[in-house]
Amino acid sequence: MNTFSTLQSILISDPLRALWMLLTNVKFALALVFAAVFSGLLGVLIPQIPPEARENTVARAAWLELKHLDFGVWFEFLNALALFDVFHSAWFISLWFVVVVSVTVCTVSRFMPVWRSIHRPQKIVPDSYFEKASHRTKFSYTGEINVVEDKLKRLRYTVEQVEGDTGIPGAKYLFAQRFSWAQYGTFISHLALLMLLLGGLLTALAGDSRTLSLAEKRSAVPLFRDPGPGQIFVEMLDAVKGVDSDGHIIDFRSKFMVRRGDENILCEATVNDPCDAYGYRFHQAAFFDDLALFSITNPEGKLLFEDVLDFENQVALVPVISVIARDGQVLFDEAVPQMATIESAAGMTALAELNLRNGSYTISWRLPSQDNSAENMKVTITGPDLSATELFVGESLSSNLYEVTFKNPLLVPAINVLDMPGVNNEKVTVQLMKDRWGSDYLYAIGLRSDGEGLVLPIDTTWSSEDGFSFTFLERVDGSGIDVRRDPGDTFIWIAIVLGLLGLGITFYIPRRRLWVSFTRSQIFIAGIAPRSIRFEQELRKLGQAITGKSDTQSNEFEDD
Amino acid sequence: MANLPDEQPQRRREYSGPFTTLGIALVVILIVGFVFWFFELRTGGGSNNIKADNFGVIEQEGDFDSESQPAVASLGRLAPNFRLPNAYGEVIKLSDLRGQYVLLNFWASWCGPCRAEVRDLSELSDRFPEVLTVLGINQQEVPEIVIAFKSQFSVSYPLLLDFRGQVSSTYAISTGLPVSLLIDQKGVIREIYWGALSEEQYEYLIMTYLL
Repeated sequence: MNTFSTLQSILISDPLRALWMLLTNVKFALALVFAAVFSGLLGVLIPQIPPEARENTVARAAWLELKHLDFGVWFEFLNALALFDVFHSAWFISLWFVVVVSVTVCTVSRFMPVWRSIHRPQKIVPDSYFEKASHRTKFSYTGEINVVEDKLKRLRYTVEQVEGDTGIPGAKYLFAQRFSWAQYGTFISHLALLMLLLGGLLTALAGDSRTLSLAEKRSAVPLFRDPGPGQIFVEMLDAVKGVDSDGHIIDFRSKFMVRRGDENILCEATVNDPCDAYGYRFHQAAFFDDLALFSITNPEGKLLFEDVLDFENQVALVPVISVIARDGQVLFDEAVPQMATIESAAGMTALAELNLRNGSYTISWRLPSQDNSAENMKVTITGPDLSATELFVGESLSSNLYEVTFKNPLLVPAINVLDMPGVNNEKVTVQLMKDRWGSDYLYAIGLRSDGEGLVLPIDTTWSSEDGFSFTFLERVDGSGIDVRRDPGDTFIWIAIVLGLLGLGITFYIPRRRLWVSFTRSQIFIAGIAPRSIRFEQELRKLGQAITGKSDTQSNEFEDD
Repeated sequence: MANLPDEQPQRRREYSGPFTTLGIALVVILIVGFVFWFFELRTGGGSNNIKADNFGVIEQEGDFDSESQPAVASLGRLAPNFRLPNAYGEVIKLSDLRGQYVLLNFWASWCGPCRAEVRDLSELSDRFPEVLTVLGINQQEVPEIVIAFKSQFSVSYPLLLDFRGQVSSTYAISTGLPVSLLIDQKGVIREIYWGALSEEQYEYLIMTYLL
């Protein structure tokens, strides 16, 4: 009777048993896994209904109509199979449901046989087993059974003398096993798979992840886009770039307040050390040190803008120049902002002006293109007592009055702001600079109607001719905070540990079980071990150890 | 007489009856089912999903050709109807604006080109108040940001909040902002502009539809 007809007869007589047979069938499990992977791939390749449109039948219909136009004649076929909403389709959910059930049934069905095999092993075997076992040997031996028992114990077997099956006169029997608990390995591996599926299901259904960009000195930012009583607000208190004594970055960390209702949790998080609050985990994900707090008010004093001016990682290349007078006094020692740019066939040239005791000095430098990196930067300096002189990094020139040094190139935050309120120009270029004492200031081109640049130190307000006031409040830091909720992660971590444990036990713990039949002149040994182990060889060595003979090819050993 | 021992007991699966074998699986099924119901079905998806009051895409209302093809965000087709609030809670329904042109502008405060075209859109709205309504549809930002933006750029037309992005999804706003659609007096989409409108496009729009 073949498998199919067996299944058919069982299906009629005991449908639940037939169902169990199907769910525990390895080929069926492989087919399920293949189908799940393939359908997941379809869900990635075919556009899926956005979640916000899925819950609204009208929005869903309008979105599907859009796909109807895109997919033409294929639309009806794809839609009938729910391929525009694979991950929420009944068949996809059913498929994974069957996978979970199948793994569960397999795991449950394995437990009792394994438990029984470990705790209530079959200690007595028929004498015929010594002639049929997959691993067996026999050899001549006239010694005592205690010697055999001792040898096995030295090999870390637990040994006990048992009764024989058929009662051959004078025969004695031993049952021995080593690491029998290792049989749990397969069961543990299946349990790990089940935990992984459950964890994945929880993560997919109840998990949440988003990133907040939070600047210091700003009001709290809501975590969820929809307002409601469960809303969580996050306020950045301090974003820190940690550096060691040599100036190397050690870590980035943030201190922030997480608020829900009237409850507050003070958090400190780094990339590897998150903070947990209200079931969410907050990780440091990014750090921004190019933010300027800036405000604009109109002539009536109404606040038009008070927010963070984000330089968005955009930078400008400027030189750091030092000017030392002949008497040793340091007149200037800081980066020079780009005050203007000139475009020519040779490329872009930046210009800056330096006002010293005897007049104005012009500094120009080429802006880097792909083949002209900042390392090769050179500046040209012209002044009342200087003809145009080129300086590379580290070079100095001496005039009658000063020693001028081009110390190094520097990248400073810089951005073009379009349509800044209260400004007639379409574009305002803002650079975030530091003076020689380390204080921040903004250098803005486009605020003044005469086109000149404007230096705006911290806490300083400048008013335009139209009556608009511009204030650089301060430079602030900010962090990107990754916020996650993953209720399945505990299951997944347990699953990973169980999986490693199960596989480790299965493949690396050398479990053995053997039965010994001892007559006056011969010993028969039969046993069970994992396939990966050369058990026959072990049995031979065991024979050598017992008999004290090394010739395994002698007639005393007869391997089948 | 003893049986031959099981050579691979760890691989053996044993059926011990429907209650002990399939029953435990049934318990797992019930737990999984409960988890699925709790997180996916009970709240309509998502964990912190507090539904805004019937805002989003709605059925067609008012004067429209019911025999026409279904609404879809495509040229020559009926525009999907929606109902959205502004930052102060006033609600606007697209179908209430039948009888005049509507320029839908999908935008966000963080989008540079959106900021750049706000002034032009305000001028357009102010210039043709009788025949054109401009509606700015914000991309899931909080009301405070929208209020600040309106004040900052002196926006003269309504800025609506698409809390959950449902209207944006339905209008297939996924490739970039801003996107503008011109809808005629009968609710049919006449023009779609990807990116900020150019001067030529403004001129064409005015000459073809508004004058």
